[in-house]
Amino acid sequence: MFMDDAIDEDTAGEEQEITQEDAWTVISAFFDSKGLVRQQLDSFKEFLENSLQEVVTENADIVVKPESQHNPGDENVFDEKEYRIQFGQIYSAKPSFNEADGESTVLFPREARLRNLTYCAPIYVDIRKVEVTMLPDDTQVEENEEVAEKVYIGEVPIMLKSTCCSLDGYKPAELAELGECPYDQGGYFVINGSEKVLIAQERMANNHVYVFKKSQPSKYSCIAECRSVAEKSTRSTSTMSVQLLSRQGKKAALSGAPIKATLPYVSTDVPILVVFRALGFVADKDILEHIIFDFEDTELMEALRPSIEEAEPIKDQQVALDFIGKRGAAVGVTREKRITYARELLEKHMLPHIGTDSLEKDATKKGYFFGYMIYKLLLVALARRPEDDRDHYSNKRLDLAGPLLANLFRLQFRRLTKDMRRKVQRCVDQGREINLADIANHHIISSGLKYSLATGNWGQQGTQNIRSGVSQVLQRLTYAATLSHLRRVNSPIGREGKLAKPRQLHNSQWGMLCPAETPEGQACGLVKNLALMTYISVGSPLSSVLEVLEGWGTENLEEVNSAHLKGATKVLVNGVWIGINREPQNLVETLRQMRRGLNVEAEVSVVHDIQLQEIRVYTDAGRTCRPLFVVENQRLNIKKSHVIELLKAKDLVDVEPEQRYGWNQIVNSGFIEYIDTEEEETTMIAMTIRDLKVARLIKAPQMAYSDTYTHCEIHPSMILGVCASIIPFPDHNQSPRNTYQSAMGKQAMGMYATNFQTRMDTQGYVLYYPQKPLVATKAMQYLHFREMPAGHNAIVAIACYSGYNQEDSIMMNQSSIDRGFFRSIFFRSYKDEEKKQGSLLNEEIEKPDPSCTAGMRHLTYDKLEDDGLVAPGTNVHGKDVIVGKTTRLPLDEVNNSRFTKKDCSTSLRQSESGVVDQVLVSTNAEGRKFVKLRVRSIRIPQVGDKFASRHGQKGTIGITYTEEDMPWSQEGITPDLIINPHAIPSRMTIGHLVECLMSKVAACVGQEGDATPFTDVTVENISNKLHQCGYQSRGWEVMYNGHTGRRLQAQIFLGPTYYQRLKHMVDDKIHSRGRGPVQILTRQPVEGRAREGGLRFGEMERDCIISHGSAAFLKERLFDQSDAYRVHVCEKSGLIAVANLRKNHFYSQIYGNDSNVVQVFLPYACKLLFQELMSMCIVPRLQF
Amino acid sequence: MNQPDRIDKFVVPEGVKKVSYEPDTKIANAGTFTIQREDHTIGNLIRMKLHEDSRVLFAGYKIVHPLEHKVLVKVQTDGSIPPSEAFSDAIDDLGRQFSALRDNFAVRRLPAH
Repeated sequence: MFMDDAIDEDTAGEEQEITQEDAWTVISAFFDSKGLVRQQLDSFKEFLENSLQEVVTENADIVVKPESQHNPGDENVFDEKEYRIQFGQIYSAKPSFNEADGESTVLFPREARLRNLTYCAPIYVDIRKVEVTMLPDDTQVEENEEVAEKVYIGEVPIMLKSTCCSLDGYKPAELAELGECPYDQGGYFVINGSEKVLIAQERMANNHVYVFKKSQPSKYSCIAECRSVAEKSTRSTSTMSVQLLSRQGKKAALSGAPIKATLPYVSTDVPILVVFRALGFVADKDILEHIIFDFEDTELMEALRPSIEEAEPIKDQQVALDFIGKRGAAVGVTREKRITYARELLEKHMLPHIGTDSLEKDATKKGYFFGYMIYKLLLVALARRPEDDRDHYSNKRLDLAGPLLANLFRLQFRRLTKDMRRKVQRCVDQGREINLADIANHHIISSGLKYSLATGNWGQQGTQNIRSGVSQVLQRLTYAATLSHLRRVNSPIGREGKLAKPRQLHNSQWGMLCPAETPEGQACGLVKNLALMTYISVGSPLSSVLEVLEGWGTENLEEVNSAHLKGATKVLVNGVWIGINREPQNLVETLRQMRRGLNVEAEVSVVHDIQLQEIRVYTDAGRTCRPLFVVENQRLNIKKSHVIELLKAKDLVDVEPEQRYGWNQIVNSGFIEYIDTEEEETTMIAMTIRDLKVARLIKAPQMAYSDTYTHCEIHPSMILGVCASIIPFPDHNQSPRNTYQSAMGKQAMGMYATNFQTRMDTQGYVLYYPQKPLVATKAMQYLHFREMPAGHNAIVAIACYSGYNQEDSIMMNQSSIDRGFFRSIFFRSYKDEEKKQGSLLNEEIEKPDPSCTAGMRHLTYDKLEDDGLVAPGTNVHGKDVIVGKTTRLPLDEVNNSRFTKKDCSTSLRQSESGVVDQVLVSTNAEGRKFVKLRVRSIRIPQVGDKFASRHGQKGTIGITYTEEDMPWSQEGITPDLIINPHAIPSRMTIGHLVECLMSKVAACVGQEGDATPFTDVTVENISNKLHQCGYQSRGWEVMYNGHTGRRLQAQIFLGPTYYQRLKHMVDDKIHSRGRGPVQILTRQPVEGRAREGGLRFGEMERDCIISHGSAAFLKERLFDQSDAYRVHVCEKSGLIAVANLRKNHFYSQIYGNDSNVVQVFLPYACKLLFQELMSMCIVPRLQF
Repeated sequence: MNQPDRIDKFVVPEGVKKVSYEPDTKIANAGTFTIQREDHTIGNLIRMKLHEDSRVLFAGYKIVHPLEHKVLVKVQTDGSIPPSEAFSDAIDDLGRQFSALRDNFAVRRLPAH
């Protein structure tokens, strides 16, 4: 509000700056071109287009030497032959399905979903075979070259709406015709008919040097570590660290503490100088030059003294290598072997991301990097720099579907090559011809990928490092729930860990992850959701970046004299120190300019760390980035004219979306750029466009927060995720309430997909008359909430009225319910198929004939028609069979009975009822009969059903009143819902009240209200508008008691509020049991409503009764009503006796008739325990 | 599923009297009338009418439970008449008032036609 006139500057002559409102045009352009699950699609595209080929290429050739049978007497012919199998180009096709009768068809997702198929595409690879003959003079002759093109090696599941998907390129109308929901975003897989999402997995970034301080119990005071992994490598990370010993004990501190290094596969720590010497740097000065570039820095030099002194005895490379070798895995071998072992270790396993070639080649770089690690360690040890933040989001990477699938494919492809090698070996050994066409067993890759996607167990089966829950069944409760699920992030840290830090919201997560949307309880803060505009880098080639670096004066590290390093800026690319630069400012400026153009990928991040004198460039995959307006000279680069062009382009319907002026053009023109979490630390970001205006003020510079802005937020409300964007006025709520609503929005009923009628989901909730909210946020338009809403605009009164809305219960207007208020449908689908068990046991779907079918249950089979299915439109209840199915009994069993079949029908779930809605008869992947049956039931709101507003205010219906019993206002309006005023003060959900107020204005004016957070809307504004509509400005109304007709003493806050119906309904929960089924083993009541189980009388309930002293009641609950049992016990031996009650014969198995037998009542579980003890030779005796 | 049938709200079950009277055991000239399948509409009306009667010392009504569709009307008189008479007087009064209202309504409405 303040000084708006002062801010309005003279814009004449210059192009007009955009307004905050125009930012929404830009945001619209973003969502038009990217959609909501772009990270998934981009990542999978990268996998299909690059990773797949890389995996195949990087895999070494299969080389097989004939190992023919050794025949004694046969001369060993010197004809070294070798067979080589090489892999070439990889190809993928569109998803297809091979019908059991051999017919192959293009597969569409709908069919895959309905028929429980897997939506996958075949992949082919070129295979080349050569025979190589080694001649005695060491030359090789290649002969008999054979190339098999496009050999089928397996199937890869295809992500929906990816470039390879059958639906790619279809227009919305065509999609609807295909039976797909035009709003469906894709980004998931269909495995055996169920939709699977790959959840992004968070991990620590590799090739980073992290320095941490250690506290007392550790023997180190400081540790610098680097988890190194070479780019696109199959090897697991090799961690290396340097640590500074804490100087406990040695108080004199004359020599200080030495620094030690931990090398992979080396059991004990090695002094750092030994490592340097082993790398080939012998002289002390030479070594120091790799750590410290400024010898004037005496403090640093002093800190290194103890380390130098410690390594005094080891003087040359050989000794140093031997020193390392002795501590390695090779024990008790010769010195030469030890040295080669140590050499190999340094080459291959120490810092593999720098290089894995010969030591001669990489030693310089490895030496410098090792020195850099020590340098960083010392900086922290000398308190010149704070320790690294483990939870800073720049230190995290997200593995999306692409990298996850690439890892999996790598494993499976290796298994395939192993299998192929075995086959080739057999062929070679037996002298058979190698048939390239069927050398590859396509089941290995197909079933391997399918297994992991179906179960969520990621990694090689049988090994210990399997991650579970990576692939999950896509939530289809509400459209928002689906979207949110596709944008979920998981950090695989043990849920039990009580460390709070990784769960807390970190500053660096601003704009990348939603601050509100996280589950409560065990996974709180570990499961996160992406903010709306977050972009996850997919990884881009280094070449373009390296070119620029070289072109702008970066000297290669190998060519630099170490004496010249002082004052120069280090250049690191993806954690690899590649060189130095003497004009860093210039280089950074150029890199950024090129990134804003087309020369360098937009997702590359450039970090200039002035303190550390470093330029870090990142091109790797999995960084979280977000788009920001680029600011130059405190002015946005984007101008009004561009926004106008965007608006114009939107109307050009006949132009292909890619050709229209849109998001990509804006990014490529350098108006907007992607900033990742690390680069963000080096930027100054203005929150609003206004801030920039203020910054430009020369008259009043003290008003500006900063005048060195480099970027500007597109809109602050974009920090929220999918579910939090649905909350109106979240900036007026107490923050946990937004978290609660984010969880509840996923349980609301609405329309989860427009094609719900043609889907056969196991469960589905659909609201009868969904309404779009009167008050909405701007972000909701991108979430398609208006098209697929989940709720009603209820007229809500906040009042105490008769008391049936206490403790979060709500009163609902029965007359509204009768008119269809919150009426909904519940779908449940049942699946059955004719399974084949062995060769003879066949199943058949038919109406079981009681005269020849064994094992028929006490259910109603009458509703089945002749085909063994219930017809659509039939009313079905808990005890009705809906799919009749029989199994043929084996012949030997049939001989002596009238039964030839066994019943294995499917019945409707107990406690459920409804109408058969749809029946689908088809064949499954094996070509057998396959049936899906959908039952519908209509759910009318009733006492006990759960409802919630959009502010974490949930409640169940406490009573329903007909309209005449409801209070009415002077206009005769009766509320649909009455909530209790006590729900407000302690929860501080002011947004709820503001929403109601604005809804009232919106209803009067006939316009949608804007509830976007972080805008200039105030309650005062809304109140004034309401007043203009002729209402009390705060939304209060005089109301009259519906029972008595008298005026209510207090005025009531009344207005429309958007309410959601949640999926928890009494009819699905109501349960009671007098007696019922018991477990077979313990004879205690079974558990759960679905099995008509008992209600647990648990420990705490038991404690209550004990303290109350009601022993008899306790015995009744725990014994008589549970597993009471009677045994007869021999009095003498205390063991259970034999009793024949019919003949009244009792005798002890030990004393025969010489003992009295007594009758004892004990729990069946107790009897069981006795028998189990006896089975392990322990005698439990009952004493009397 | 477990919801009570809504017909219970207004159909008096067989064998149950629409109105029953239970004299109070402790207070003289007092008693409770139970009107089956009625709610505030009748209860409140009768109570207000009884209040107008100077012979009535106390009149009140309650709906015991939302699932029990009956109204209890408690009446205590000064002894000049029994509660039942006060109750029936009130009902008669109401009847007259309503028929007057209906007649008035019919008369006023007719000329418009």
